[in-house]
Amino acid sequence: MPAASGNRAFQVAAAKGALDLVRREPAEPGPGAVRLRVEACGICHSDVLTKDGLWPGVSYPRVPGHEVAGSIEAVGRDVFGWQVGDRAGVGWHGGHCGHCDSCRRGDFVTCQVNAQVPGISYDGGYADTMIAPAGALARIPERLSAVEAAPLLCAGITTFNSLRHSGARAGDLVAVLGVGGLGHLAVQFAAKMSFDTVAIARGKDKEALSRELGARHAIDSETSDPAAELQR
Amino acid sequence: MILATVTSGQAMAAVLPGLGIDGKLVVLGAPHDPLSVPAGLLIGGRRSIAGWPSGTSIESEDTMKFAVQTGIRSRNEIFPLERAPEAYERMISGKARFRVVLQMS
Repeated sequence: MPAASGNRAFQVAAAKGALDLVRREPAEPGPGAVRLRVEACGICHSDVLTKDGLWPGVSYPRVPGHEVAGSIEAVGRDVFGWQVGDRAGVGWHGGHCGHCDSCRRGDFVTCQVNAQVPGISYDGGYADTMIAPAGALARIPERLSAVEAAPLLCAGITTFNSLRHSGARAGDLVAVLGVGGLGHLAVQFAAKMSFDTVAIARGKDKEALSRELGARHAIDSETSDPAAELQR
Repeated sequence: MILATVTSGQAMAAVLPGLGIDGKLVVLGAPHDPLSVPAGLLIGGRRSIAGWPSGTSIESEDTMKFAVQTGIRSRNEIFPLERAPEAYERMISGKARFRVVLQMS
């Protein structure tokens, strides 16, 4: 098959390089891995780590992208519980060794030996297909489209998970500093978790938006001192 | 608790005095500048500063399930894959409202 008919991928050839369109034949998933047919991939600020070579040890060329949603197109051997056609995604946590001290405590995110990030440790989701370790796959609910699911796999989980593990209880005051990519999700999660949610953002225009997202108070950090406002 | 989603250590430092007793600043955004803290502030009110990294695949499922239960959605600007370089610049510019998502077909 001529190369032009392969799958599309945007890769960075070297640190600080451009995102170049390349076409390649889909790779076969190795043991414990699957090939995803990517339907949507969120772009995260931290993709700059790959693009500009700010993460130690990135090898190039590399395809960025760690907010990946799609479906399984091929299953490698030694994969359990996943079948071709299953809807699945992968986020920032893209794999772990399974045998270091952290992993043996079930704390995969702090894996000391082989904590992997899609788009950094291996090619990510700015592409038609990608290979991912089955252990990093999340099942996508029927009621979420791929576009809806993708940003929840890094921005979403980071805000949701940090809130529910914070020790804050229903009714406690939770202030979200910044109403942007992460913050607009954090405000929604905090409000739906029944925290007394305060949004702190620059400018008046963010105030109405913050309330729309569920904040009970909105503080404009350009015209007031947010620390003093929080103490009121 | 304050959940810091900005990428400025200075902005984080500015809200620290807003923490209550046993209050915690949780850092999610990676700042480009150091976070400078009057450390005495932490002692009397047992205040703390911590970070939080994403989570595992099952916690991604928890996140999506909760989003379905409660109607939470990310607000996205959608670009076709062919326009990935432009989409990337849009996200990095900080002007996107609020996430940028590539759609493959």
